[in-house]
Amino acid sequence: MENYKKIIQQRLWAMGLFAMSCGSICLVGGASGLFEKYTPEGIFGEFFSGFQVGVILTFILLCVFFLVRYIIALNSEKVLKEMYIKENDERSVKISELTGVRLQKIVCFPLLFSAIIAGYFSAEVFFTLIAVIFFISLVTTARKIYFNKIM
Amino acid sequence: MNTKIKELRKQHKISQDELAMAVGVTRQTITSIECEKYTASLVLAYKIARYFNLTIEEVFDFSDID
Repeated sequence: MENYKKIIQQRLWAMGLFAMSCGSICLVGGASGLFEKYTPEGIFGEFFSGFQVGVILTFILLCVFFLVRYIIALNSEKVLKEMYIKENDERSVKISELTGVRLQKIVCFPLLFSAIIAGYFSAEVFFTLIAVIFFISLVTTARKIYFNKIM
Repeated sequence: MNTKIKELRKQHKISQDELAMAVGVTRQTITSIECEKYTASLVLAYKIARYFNLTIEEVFDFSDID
């Protein structure tokens, strides 16, 4: 359990740094007008800038959620043990392996990043990448529900 | 795979949650093993058997396996 505690502390730092980075990007980009300068014009431009802000805010909110969760876990042995069991439960691990949840995370984050970069140049590429992310997530979720039911 | 976990739990008057916490898995995993939907790994089978002070063969029925 001590090793897991160290892992949680490392995650806490990583989450904090990531949340601060996202916040800084949002503040610097918004205040300096960099986002507006390079954002495409028209309806797509408005949608794209809204999407961009939405993604960054979602990441920040997720980071805050996990930060609070990790702080609570570090202060309570019972919560820490529950979290450890939930993460290392052999059935859940097997379902994750069968559904490819790890692969989904590895593939979707770079795709999302690529979609945001592509959005500055082409609406078609942006929507294609978003559709791919949506499809991968949908298939993974459906498979997860299926395996949860049969296992 | 057929198991005696449910009977043993009732005998010892312990809940699925208590057993799950003791052997380091979630309650859903214990439910799945009891319902024969999921086959426990060797390590988990050993932990469950040890919890009841029994051998693996006394908890799990291997008669289906050739």
